[in-house]
Amino acid sequence: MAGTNPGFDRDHLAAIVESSEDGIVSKTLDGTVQSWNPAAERIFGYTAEEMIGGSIFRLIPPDLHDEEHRILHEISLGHRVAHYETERIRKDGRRVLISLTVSPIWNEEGTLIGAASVKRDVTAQRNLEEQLRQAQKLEALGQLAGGVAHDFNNILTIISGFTAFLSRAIPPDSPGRPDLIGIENATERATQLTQQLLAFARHQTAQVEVIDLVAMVNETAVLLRRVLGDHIRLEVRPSGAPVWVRADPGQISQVLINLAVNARDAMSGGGTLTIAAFDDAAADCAFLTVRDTGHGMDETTREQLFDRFFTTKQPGQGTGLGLTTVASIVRAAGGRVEVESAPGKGAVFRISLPRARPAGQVDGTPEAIELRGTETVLVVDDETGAAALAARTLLDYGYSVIQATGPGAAMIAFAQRASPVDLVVTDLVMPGLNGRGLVEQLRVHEPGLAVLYVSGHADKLIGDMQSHVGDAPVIAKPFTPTQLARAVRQTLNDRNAQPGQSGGTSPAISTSRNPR
Amino acid sequence: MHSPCSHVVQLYGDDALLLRQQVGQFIGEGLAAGEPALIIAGPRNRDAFVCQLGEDGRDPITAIRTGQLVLIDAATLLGQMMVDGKLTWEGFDRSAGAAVRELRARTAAPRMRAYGEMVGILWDAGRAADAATLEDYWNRLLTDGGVSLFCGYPIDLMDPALDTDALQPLIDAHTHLLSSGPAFDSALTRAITTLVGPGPDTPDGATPMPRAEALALWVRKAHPDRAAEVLACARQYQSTQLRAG
Repeated sequence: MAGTNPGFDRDHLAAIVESSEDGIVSKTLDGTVQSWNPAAERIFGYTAEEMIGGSIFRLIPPDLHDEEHRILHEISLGHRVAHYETERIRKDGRRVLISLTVSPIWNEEGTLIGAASVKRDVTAQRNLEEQLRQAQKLEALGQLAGGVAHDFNNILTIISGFTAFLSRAIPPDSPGRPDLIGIENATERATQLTQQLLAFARHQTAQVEVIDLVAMVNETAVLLRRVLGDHIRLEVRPSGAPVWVRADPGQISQVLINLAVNARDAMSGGGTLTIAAFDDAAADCAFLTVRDTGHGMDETTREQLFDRFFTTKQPGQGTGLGLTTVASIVRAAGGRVEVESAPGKGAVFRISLPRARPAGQVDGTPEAIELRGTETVLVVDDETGAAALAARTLLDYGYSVIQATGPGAAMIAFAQRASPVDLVVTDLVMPGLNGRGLVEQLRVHEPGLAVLYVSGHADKLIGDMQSHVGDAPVIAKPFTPTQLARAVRQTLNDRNAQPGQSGGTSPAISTSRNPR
Repeated sequence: MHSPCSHVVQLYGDDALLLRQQVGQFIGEGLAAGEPALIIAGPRNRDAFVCQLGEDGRDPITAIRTGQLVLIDAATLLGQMMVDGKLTWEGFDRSAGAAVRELRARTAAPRMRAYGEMVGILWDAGRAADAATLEDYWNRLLTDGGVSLFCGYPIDLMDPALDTDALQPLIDAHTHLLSSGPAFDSALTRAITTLVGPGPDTPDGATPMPRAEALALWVRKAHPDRAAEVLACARQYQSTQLRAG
């Protein structure tokens, strides 16, 4: 039972009210404020002098006046209203979400004379919950999109592969050529769409290559104009010469789009977005800058800018993940992001990336490798279409191919083979025995067997394993026939380059990488 | 697990993992003991069994390469033994019988093991009587001794629509029925105990079988009105256990 010690005077009670983190307010039954503690001052921005004697309706949005009348009516009946969540308006006009408990106040004669309310600002807590819900929703959507896109990716690999075969077989002047081009174009668009879905789901494997930042900016500018809308002018100021970096082009596009969206939201009244790409030979760095003329940021916002789930946008309008993604992509590419901004002065995001040599200048590029071969390759994939595509590709490049749908079939084919197998190209993830288990079984019989893993889940492999599992390279799905042929040739060349290797003597499976 | 010259049957429903593990063990133990083995199966089960042998640490590649393990496609062999679409002893002996004899002669082994699912193909095609005939042919072949046979049927004992009258002679053609797994056993026992009481300790049945499998057949005769409910409940328990497991 609640109560107070007889020695506990009004001063003690007043001290508790004064020090409370919750706003404690008393009012008459018509809503005239009688007392107003410091926490109420912090929550609503009004001082006690401004509020005492005034109406509590000053805090209540017009559309919620009826609600306050109902609360006062309940109090007039002697009832208590507990943990009621509603909105109030601060002195600066911002709405705050509060949790309200209102209790009747009785005098010593037992007459109802007013109401005492305890108000807790739950805006931050609810925003956080909303952000978490958004994040969970995104996560679920991402998983769904990623799963569908992954399966679709495999199918597209097969479609584009067989289309490539048809393209080679049909003469340029064939009446069917335009139809084929239509299929190729549609497949290309579908591939891009699945890449976007996979990127959204964070399932996409970074496909790092040497790219020209200037070309990337020019290509992405078309899309950015649509993202920005008519009220924002886009200026692209690329350097006159190519700017080479080693990065995933899809991810660089994503960086540009995320920064553009961020800038657009900072320029709701219109403005200019300027993108520049240039390099600095002395610093051995390439730079990408994105400058807006928006409302800018104060120091507190700048400091939290790249924090996950931090957003200055209204609930439902931003996830707080856009700039986090930018930062993680740039970090993964070995670069840095810096921000310059001040309120009213716009913002500049400056990305620095290590410079790279253009592809044509790199020695021993895959383009220089002779792709054809006559070796015997065992192709294993539990998806019949994928196995057939890989087999067909390698047959076209001159290899002898044994095709197996799954690890069991592969072991049977291996046992029944007429000639030695030089290379096994196997899916990593298969029902029953996985690719590594299969390779262990095969290498008991042919220790020097070269291996190339194929994976539709390369994004789930960690670190170096995205390129190698044990001593064997990994090629990520989807791949073109040429990419597969290149990887096969490279793997066989590496195997042949090992000392004493023409059949090999390496152990079942080692954790070391081949010298490359 | 398998006594010499047994003729066992596994009703695996759609639990391919159960079948794969049981057959992997059956064939693997034989290979390890130096016995030759014959697998007469469709491509999916054949590949799965070879895979299981690899997972179990056997060496199926050497076994296949040396001829200790012989793989025959079930549908092809079944087609070879049919004469005008009908099973005959002569057709069976000329195909399956010859395969068994050839393997035994080549390896000169006193014992061998075989897995067969031609009977399962016939059952699936609604030809239960032909499946029973084929079981009889196998039993006739087994009288020569030295061969242990494992038969696989894609039959779900929890299926309320299962034709037990057609099934019973098939089960009776075997020396024993293998367990459908611990999840099946506990789920069925629990459902029967909950809904109709514990049931008999040893339900009637000519062929030795685990108690849960015997109860699955018993409940249909003893409680025809409630059998569907019991089996549905058992299936629910089983799927819950498998998910939790």
